[in-house]
Amino acid sequence: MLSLKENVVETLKNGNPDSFVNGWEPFPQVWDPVFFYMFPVAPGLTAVNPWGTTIHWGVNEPGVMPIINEENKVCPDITEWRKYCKAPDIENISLDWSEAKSAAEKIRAENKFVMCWNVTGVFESLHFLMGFEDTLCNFLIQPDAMHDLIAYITDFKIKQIRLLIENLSCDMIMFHDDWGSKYSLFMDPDTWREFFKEPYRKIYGLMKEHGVITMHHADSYCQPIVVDMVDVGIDIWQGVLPSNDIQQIKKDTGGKLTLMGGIDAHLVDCENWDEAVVRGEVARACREYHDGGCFIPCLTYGGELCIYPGVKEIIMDEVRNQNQIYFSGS
Amino acid sequence: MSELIEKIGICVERGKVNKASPFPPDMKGLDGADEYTKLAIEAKTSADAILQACNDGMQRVGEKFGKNLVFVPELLMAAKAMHAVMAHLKPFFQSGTVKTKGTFILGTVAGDLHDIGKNLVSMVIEGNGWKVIDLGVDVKAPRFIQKISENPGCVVGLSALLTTTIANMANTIKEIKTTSPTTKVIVGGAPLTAGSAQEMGADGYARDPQAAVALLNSIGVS
Ligand code: B1M
Repeated sequence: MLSLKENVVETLKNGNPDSFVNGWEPFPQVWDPVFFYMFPVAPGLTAVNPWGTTIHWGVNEPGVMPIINEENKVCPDITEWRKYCKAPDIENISLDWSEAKSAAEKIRAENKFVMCWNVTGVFESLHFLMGFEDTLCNFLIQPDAMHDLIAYITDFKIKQIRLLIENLSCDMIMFHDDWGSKYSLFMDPDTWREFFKEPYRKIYGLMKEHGVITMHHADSYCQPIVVDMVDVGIDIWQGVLPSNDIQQIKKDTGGKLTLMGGIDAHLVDCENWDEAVVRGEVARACREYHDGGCFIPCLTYGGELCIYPGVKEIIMDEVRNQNQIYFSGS
Repeated sequence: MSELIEKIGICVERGKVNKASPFPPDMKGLDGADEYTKLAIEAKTSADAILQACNDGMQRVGEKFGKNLVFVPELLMAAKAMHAVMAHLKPFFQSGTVKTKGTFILGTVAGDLHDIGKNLVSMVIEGNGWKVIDLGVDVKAPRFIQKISENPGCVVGLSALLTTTIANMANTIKEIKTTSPTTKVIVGGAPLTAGSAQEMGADGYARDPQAAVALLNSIGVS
């Protein structure tokens, strides 16, 4: 029987895993101090992050929302972005890594991979600075300034990743950047290539240089750019929605991209969730996406928690059941 | 004159706002929706014809969006061009020379702050000739009900992106139907399906803005 880590490695190289990688099980997340510095909020609080963006976490809401309007947007004029956008000097602030380091050691002792989380991605950073509509329109009307700002944000992300690697020697980094909605990319695939492909090659290139397994979260329809995702160095696309043609993506990427997701969150993680429906959806995902390997059954959220208590446990239990069907000897 | 009308439609479809706008690159330096509408009005073109051209342009770009031939940025630019046209037509609406198809009250339901999809729906429906009252995000049922009472015969549109706010959507529909049983309510947003929309008592479900336009035009004004 393979260890949890060996099983991940086999899955990533489309070799011979002996079971499904069960969601996030082999790579628990370590919360790092840069993350807390960048997101100084808790449920019920509103704060301004170090870039100047107002963020809010509503009580009973599953996560943080930037609040951007004409009065408070950090970058009201992209042509003057240098005046408005000042990257936080994360290399020269004092951060306490002790808790993150001991969490990482504990994970290592369990023979699991240490995974760090990196939000917000380059596109998300743009819309945190100027709002969604300005971001998308500026690709078309101010492309030069957008390229410059993207390069500036990419440099900041590179510094952030270096800190994670230096301090935690993490095995994996999950980089969060949603590039689309359920049925389409936010932008033309060529626009994505023009603005994001090279910055991401740098970001994932740095991780690869340090032997880090690269995971990109986008719970979006990204089918038109999957080959580009491989080109820039992504090992795992986490969040792959069932609205993508997952089997076609495997053909297009030839075993070079592991797809993590496939379970429809809207169907299973809802107020009146039903155990039979949850198990049925997990079984469907395993049945439809197991062939050809490179698949990790999982909800499409960019983290291991579910919104409704109990759902995660049923999903994981059903994945174990499915092992009996698809992996002889499990 | 018909050439001007055609150009207005093309500018809206392609998102060419005005001469100064560098987008789309192949129309750089050319007049845009703003200039052509001004010229059309000076040439005494009827406001109805201008509005129709604008609607046609939005219809075409909306269809392309539904087929993934253009994307959110292009749709946003088309909406900007449409607004440039509408700014010139404002006096005609105010005087009653041109009429809208009806009033559409739109909002993202309580607890939900996502607005990109809702905004696109708003733009495309406005471009189709409806008066849109956009109540924004995190809109609670009483606010919809108040607006419905101020706009008899309106149609209501609810958007939701979170599984956690689907219940709020269902409650909002229930409250609207209790106080105003004849008001039609349509819904949309990624977590929904036609089936779930029907279960919660909506009069229709639209997967994208173009489908919302079709639905609205078929429901009409009560
Ligand atoms: C009335 O008639 C109609 C007819 C058609 C209608 C309609 C109404 N409304 C929409 N349509 C339809 O037409 C539109 C155009 O085609 C379409 O609208 P859509 O909205 O589907 O499409 C838009 C054009 C583009 N799509 C979107 O704008 C949504 C995209 C995703 C990536 C997304 C985004 C961008 C954002 N988010 Co949020 N976000 C996600 C989304 C994941 C995804 N892949 O969809 C989702 C929806 N978010 C989620 C969450 C949890 C959250 N988000 C939050 C915040 C944000 C951002 C600020 C980062 C940003 C929103 C910016 C904004 N101003 O709206 C927080 C929400 C706080 C709150 N109370 O609302 C937060 C809680 C925090 C977080 N990030 O985890 C998830 C919901 C999970 C669930 N099961 O409920 C989510 C699926 C991502 C995920 N997996 O974590 C159609 O649905």
